[in-house]
Amino acid sequence: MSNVLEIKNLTKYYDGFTLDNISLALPQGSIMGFIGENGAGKSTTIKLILNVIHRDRGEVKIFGRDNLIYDSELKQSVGVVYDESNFPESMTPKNINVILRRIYRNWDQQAFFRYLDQFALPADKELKTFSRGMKMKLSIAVALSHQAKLLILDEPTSGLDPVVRDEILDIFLDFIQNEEHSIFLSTHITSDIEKIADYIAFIHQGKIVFVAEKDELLNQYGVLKCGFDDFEKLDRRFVKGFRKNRFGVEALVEKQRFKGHVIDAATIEDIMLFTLRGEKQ
Amino acid sequence: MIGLLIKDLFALKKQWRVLSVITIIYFVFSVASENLGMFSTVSIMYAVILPVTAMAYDEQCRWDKYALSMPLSRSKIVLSKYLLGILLNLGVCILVCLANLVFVYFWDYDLKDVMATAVGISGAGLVILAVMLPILYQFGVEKARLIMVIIFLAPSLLIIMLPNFELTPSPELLSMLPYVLPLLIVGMLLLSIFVSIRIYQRKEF
Repeated sequence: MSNVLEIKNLTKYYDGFTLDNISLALPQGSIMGFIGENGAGKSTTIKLILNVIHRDRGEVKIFGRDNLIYDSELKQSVGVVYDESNFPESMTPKNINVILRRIYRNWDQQAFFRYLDQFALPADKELKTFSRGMKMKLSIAVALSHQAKLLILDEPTSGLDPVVRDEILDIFLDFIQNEEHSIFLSTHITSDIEKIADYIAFIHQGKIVFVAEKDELLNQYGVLKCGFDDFEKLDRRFVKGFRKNRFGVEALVEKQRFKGHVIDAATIEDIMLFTLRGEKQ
Repeated sequence: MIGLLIKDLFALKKQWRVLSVITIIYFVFSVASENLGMFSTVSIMYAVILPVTAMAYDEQCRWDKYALSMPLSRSKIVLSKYLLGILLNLGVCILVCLANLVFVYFWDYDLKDVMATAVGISGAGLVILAVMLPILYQFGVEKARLIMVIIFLAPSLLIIMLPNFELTPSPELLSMLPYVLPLLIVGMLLLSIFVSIRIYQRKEF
């Protein structure tokens, strides 16, 4: 299986923030969730992938080709959705169709209007009358209407209600049915990732904490609850992080190492929170 | 690039309506006062104000960040704004010509003078465009507005004060102007495009 997106040692310096040696790879046909708190470097990474900002070091390959050299060529096959609509408010979806027909070589007008229909978006209304959810759906319709093979999505579900979010996730799952299609999705809503992602890349303070298969991650880790005395007896090498409360201790542990204990399934959120905020050792 | 141009025309949708009304009002006003000066000056404003407005809209919805995620090079994005400005100036030139024809017809104006006025006005519009766009790209619309007021104030004052210096250009110089000025304007535009692209290449969104 080849990688549709490969990032190596990507680095960008800002005053007070460094995106530090990011490396990851997204295999074709899969969805990678890119998680981390606000300001962790998710948007910076995505902007670097798209050459919206300039890197200081490192390399990015899309479909195996350098993203600086083949910039425009590669973007014909990449669909992008940011966390907001970027079309002027006075435009209508019909206007957008007229414009993008001249920008994307493979613009599929029929597909675009079909998506508008499917998402219940009026083709003749100006965008200023659209709700946030409608605008996001419009951006997604655009990203899906030029035969993109890779979707790069920067917090596409943030600020949306659970129903719309679920609808949008279904659209992504539908897109991925084609084996040639892949999705790179950044979000801080970990439950979304849990629903659809195959891989998870976790970024914290500009550094990658881990890149792993989601199922492996969820199989590997669990949340162990026990009293203070029992906790002292645990082999700390396999405790990723813990939290003490009035009644005892909750710890994120490698499940296989603690057979015989009561261990709850860990969520992605648990893994994220224990790794970042839990006490160590 | 045509796609980007159409995008700006769509984005300026509301402005078109307002401007058509203003154009008609000024035209009627000019005809009534038998003086097209006012009409011509106002029409040049469109060619100057509309590209700035288009860029203000772009900033408002962070269009550039989005445009750069599409198969569009940075230089194409810059060139499309120049194309918009040049076409608007061409439009103004045609508009002023047409308006003047009314005067030629009713008041016996000289057609040659009329054409010269229209071309002169567009030329001035292009000069303003050439100075303005790099400043807009470098500083953003908000700051650039202020800077432009200062930049355009200086030459205006100079022109107003010119008669005081008793500097009358020689007839030879004046006769050369129709040939030199177009070249000068084209040169300015090319330089301006080059500078704007350099600025835009460095920009991050």
